Amino acid sequence: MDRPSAQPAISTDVDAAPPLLIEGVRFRYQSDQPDAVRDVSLRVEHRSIVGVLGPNGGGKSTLVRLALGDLEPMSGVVRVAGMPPSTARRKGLIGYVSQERPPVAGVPMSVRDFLSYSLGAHLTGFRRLQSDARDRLAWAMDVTGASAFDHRPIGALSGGQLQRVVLARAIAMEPCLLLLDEPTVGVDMQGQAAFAELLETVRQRTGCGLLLVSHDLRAMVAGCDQIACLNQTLHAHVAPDGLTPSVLAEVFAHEGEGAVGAVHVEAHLAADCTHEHDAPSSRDAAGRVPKDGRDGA
Amino acid sequence: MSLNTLDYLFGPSGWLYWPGVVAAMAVALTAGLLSPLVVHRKLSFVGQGVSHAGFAGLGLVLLVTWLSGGAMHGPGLTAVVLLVTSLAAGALMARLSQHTTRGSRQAGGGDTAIGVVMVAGMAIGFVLTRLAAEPVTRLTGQRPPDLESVLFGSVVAVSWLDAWVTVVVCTLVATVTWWYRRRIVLWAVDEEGARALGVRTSHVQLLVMLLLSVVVVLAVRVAGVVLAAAVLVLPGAAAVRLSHRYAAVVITSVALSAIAVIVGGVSAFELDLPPGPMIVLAGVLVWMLACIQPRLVKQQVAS
Repeated sequence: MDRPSAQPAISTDVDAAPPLLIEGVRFRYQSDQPDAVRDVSLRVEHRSIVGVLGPNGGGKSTLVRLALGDLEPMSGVVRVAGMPPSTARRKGLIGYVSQERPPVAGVPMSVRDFLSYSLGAHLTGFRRLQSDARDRLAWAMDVTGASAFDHRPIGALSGGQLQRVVLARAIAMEPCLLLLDEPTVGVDMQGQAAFAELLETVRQRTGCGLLLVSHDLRAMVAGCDQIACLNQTLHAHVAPDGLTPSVLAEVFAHEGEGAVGAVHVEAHLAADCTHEHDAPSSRDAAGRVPKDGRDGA
Repeated sequence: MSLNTLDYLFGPSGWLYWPGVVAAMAVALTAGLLSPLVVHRKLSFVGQGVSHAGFAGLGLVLLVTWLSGGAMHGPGLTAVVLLVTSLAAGALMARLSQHTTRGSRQAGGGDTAIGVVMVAGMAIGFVLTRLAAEPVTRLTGQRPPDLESVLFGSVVAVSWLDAWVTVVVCTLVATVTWWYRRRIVLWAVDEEGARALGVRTSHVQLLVMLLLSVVVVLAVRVAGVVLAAAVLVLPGAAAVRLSHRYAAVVITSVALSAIAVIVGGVSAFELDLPPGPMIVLAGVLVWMLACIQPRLVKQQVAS
């Protein structure tokens, strides 16, 4: 929980600054193209979970890459724990789970080795992983369920198992900002409920700020403190309960009558009136726990 | 069956072969160490490109000798020019493959460009060799190495100085690889993840390309331009089929590489065939055996 640091001054700064601060950011890929994102301001506090929702092409991936420091904004500021994202990343302050699974098919390495190599990536020569890092790793593997198959070769895992491994790796870093890009793609409802609980545990234990980016509403509603709707610009910045069909219609308007938009709105309505739908109980429970925690905090 | 090999090696003219044997073994062990990386990152093409650029480098050496009126020649010049051209080619291809992995999938990037570097190196090498061979022979009184030994390697042409330089450089390459093994392996299996963990992946990539270039340059001497890339591919390709643990894969790869050199070298002596191609053929044989036998061994490892 406490990040071991030789320089307490920096550690204090990290704790004081918000995990993610985006202010008035604009970005376009080529000068003759329209803005990919514009006027985006977003703030992720410690111990909060913020979801960014938007249609395909709405700028979600651009936002992620800006937050990671892969892209530099044309105007505006991006700060992770008070520093430029690329610096924060090098210090291991950003835990990032990509939308794409690592290309590990056929890689001859056990899950445990993969994770300890990952956590010790900066080590050289004779230096070995320190015991606190090993403890964090063990905890992360337990909480994600990756410890159940820690001796299996990483190249032989299913997509869902690999997802847990990658998540375990990001959590074990005990980052300041945990950035999850489409974390529940291909995960069923029960899996999503469990996932929401997992995020809650991580938030409690590490105190990090979480940013979830998704086009899938079901993934967002459970457990998010705030939801930002992104379609080139931020359309609304609301708590999940305020996410009304009219807000959604605005965000997804560019998709017209497209099937994707329709499905999204439906999915959201289903989540809103939990008592009338098929698998509401687990989702409900997952949604309630964080809210209580938030009120108390 | 009496082995001619032993008679050769320990006979009166055995000293002729020992430097080549030592160099071949050093290169094989180092190549075996890097080979799993090459296989994971699908870098075998880079090995090809680097070695073919090395061929252009050999042509360049002749050109320099010719233009300097015979003043500049010898193994020192050869080594320096070879290393420079190969490092340049390695760095160039690192940049190109970076463009591919970063998702710019335009036609004409990535492997296309590596293919261009390869054939260009080959063609430049041939043209320069043909142009400069006669004048260089006249100027220095020495015939430049014939094309066959350049293309397929020549164990006999290795001097003791070459051999010791090879051993030292190989040790250096192996040490650097071991020192940075974690980030190198992580870069090899999951580049984006490595970047997310704060690894400067572009630096790692450059480092690996340089290490590969150095090994290829050394391997060209023994196995030749055409075959140098094979020693970087075959042991790793065989080893990844035989184990599920990375450390075991690396050890297996090194061992298989040594076996290929011994089997290939001995059969070359016995059958009076060129050792470079025979070593590569032995490597191919090892790889084929590994392909046939994977299930049996995997079960043993799993249990």
